Amino acid sequence: MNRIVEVSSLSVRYPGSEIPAVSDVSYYVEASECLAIVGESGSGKSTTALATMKLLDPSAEMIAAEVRVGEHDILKAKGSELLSIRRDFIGTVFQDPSSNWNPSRKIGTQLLQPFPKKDRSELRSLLIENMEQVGIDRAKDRLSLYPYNLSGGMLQRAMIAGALLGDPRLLIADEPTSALDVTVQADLLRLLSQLQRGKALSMIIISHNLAVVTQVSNRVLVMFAGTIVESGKTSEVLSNPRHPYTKNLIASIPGMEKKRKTPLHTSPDAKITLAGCRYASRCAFAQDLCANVKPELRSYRGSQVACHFAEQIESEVVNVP
Amino acid sequence: MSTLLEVRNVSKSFNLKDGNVKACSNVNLKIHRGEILGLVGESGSGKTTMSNLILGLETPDEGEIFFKDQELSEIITKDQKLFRRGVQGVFQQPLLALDSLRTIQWSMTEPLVVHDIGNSASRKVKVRELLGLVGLDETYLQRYPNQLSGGQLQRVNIARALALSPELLICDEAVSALDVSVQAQIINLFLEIKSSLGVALLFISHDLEVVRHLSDRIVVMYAGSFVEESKTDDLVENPLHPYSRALLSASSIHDSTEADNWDMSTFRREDLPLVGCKFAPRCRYAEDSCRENEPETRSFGADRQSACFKTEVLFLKGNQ
Amino acid sequence: MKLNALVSAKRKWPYVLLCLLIIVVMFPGFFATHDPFALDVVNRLKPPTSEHLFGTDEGGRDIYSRVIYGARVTIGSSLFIVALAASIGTLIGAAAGWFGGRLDWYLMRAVDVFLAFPYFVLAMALAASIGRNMSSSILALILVWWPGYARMVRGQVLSIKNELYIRVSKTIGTSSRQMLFWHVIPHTKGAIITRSTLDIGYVIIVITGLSFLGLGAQNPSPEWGLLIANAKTYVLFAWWYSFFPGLVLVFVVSLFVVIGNKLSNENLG
Repeated sequence: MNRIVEVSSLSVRYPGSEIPAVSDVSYYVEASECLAIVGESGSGKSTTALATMKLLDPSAEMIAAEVRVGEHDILKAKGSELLSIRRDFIGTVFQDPSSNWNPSRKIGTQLLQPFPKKDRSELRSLLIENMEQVGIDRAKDRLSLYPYNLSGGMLQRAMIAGALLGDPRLLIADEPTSALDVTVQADLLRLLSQLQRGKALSMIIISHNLAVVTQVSNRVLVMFAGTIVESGKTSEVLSNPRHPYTKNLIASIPGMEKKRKTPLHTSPDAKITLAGCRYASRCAFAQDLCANVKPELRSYRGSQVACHFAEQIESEVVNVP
Repeated sequence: MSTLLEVRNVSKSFNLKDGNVKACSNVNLKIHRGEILGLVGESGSGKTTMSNLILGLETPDEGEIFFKDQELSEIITKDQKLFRRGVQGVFQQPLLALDSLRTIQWSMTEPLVVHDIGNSASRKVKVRELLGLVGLDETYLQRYPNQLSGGQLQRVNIARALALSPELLICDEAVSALDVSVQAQIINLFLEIKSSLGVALLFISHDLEVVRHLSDRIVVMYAGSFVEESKTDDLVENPLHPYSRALLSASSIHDSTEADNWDMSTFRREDLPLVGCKFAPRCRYAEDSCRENEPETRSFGADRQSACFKTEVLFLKGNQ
Repeated sequence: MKLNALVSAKRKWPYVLLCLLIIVVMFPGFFATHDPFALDVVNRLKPPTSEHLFGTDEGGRDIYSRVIYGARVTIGSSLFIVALAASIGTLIGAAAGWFGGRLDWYLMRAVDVFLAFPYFVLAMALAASIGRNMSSSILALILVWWPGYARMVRGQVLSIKNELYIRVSKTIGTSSRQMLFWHVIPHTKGAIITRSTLDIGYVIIVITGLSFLGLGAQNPSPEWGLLIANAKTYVLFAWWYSFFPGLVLVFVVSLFVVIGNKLSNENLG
């Protein structure tokens, strides 16, 4: 199968930070598949995805062996080539509709703004079509509305319509539902899923909530402190998590446990160390090896796990303190 | 069980640019000592207005609110500080709830200073105690809000809210802005506070899963009106109102086969009907009678109420 | 590395000069070469020499030393005016913004009246009616300048009022007075300081202007505006007399404007 995105050995550091935001991460996205990247704030999930178009803070240092999107070598791309990749090849939907719009410009104007003036009138009718496709009725009228006239859910839909304008092959949705009510979330995710399958788009969806992405993604990467701790088919990872962090993550989501048990309490402020496994200081199963040697991602029973003791944890041989 | 707080037939409207908006109409609810009452609704359901009303930040246009059998407006005029010691709040944005120019210690000492509790030395002790209650140590005291994470900030906010030893804590979307893993910690913290301190909670959220995890009873609101009240397990097993049903199916996680395609995305104030049941335009069970008359709240057993004409027909007989 | 140090040094030079200026204002004796009031009629209107850096005036007094001592009068009084205007304006603006209603309405109408006049015209009118001396000018300028602060602070307070931490303080039971002084006014400090710094430059221009017109400082004060006014008579044959005080005046005002601009950029960015 064709891989739309290929990233090898990506590392990103922000100045002044001891722990790199992303450490030696490699991943890929097949054509027409949806990959979810899941993790807490600070896990590096957004950075990992946005590196595909070098959309990082200018102070960030990014190194990688390869970052390929479609036919484009992102590491080498600059200037207008990079702009055109960001606008045409990749469509992006960001979190928090209330802060990603200019409150003093009309919606239509903002969505068309990245495109050259000569194309705008043609794109306008395409935009209306897109907006109707994403479920915004009376799209033509809404183009001349301001962001404050629309609800969060509507604004996100409008952003999706805008993201599709360049006829992208890859859609990146960074926490698209986090600022919305759960009822609106479900709907928006359904929409993303439909779009992705209908247009055979590849998609990367980023979220802190594993439950949210299960409805839309084929595969999932679970990240912690800049590293991938587990990856595999979404259904598999969800029903049979192998890494202690993934297990905790699932158990802490209210509703994932059907019985009314208290969620697992993770140690909140244990300091993350550079040496060894990043999760060691929070892990209930940590052994000496974990503090010294960084586990590599390896295949284990259908998923990829970065843990020295996945087998033992499974069979509960390791002593739990 | 004594009633700590009672909201009786409360309505509140606001004058906005595009006309008069009735944020709450005829809402009734009771909170008992030491219990957690969940209040669920989407944005625009009136839950935030409810929280402002109960905290005494707004006054109702109609109806009354009673705290420990005394009417709110009376208490506030007679002895505002006494009321403040009884009811406190924790809000949605952990960072914005703190003055960015003040250290954590200053912010946590503020309630004690305002209410003239103790002296400089005893306040320092109390603040440390409070931090301990929420699982933070004294290194946090000299830090500023922008140096803490969302979860840590919310703990500080909770600690500060507990400084006056309130009997009721209003949690207005207190975990909605946090990551799921952090949410779990704060939810656990609330449960601990309830069991060890006996504080009652009004937990307001749009996320039914979270509310369900915490609450003893749940009240559901839609477009400013009361829709259903049930014990948590009852609501989850057999919701009495179509809206509650819709919420459940939207929140339900393992649910990809469910054909409950409720139209939940385009909720606009302008689309609310002026007559009849407010939910009718989106309700799959709606009939003409629903569109003509507004349903009254009826009881269906202990702690079970619903405002829907078709409750018996659709739900109580085990109809799916 | 070296280039970086140079660039950041370049960025700091206004502040360094400001410090120097303040030292001059506080310790003029250290910098002056002569007694600014000492008459020496024999040596009147002499051009700049190594002994008299800026030359002498019509009384033989050393212009350089008069400029140095004049700094204390001009800049000192400007600082005083801005400090008082800012304090009064802040209190009034904060009260208006916070309490709203009738109080706000009356206070803002008063502000409107003052702001309807150009600064200089109003200053002249007030100074002339209060009295022709330095203290009256200072009073006049404080009256002219406070409304600007009131309006600015009121605007800030109106938006701060809606912040979540204010709502939280209300639920805690904090009184209005406590909230204003603990939470509201501290958040306006940035804007006040920026505006004050810019204002010092403008106030200097107006106060020297008033003195120039005869409304402010009176002889033999070495106030800069007065110096330049006196120099007017001799401008054709003693160019140095108006040139040096004028140059210093331009330089100092520019310095305050530059610093004010820097502060305002930092606050916005």
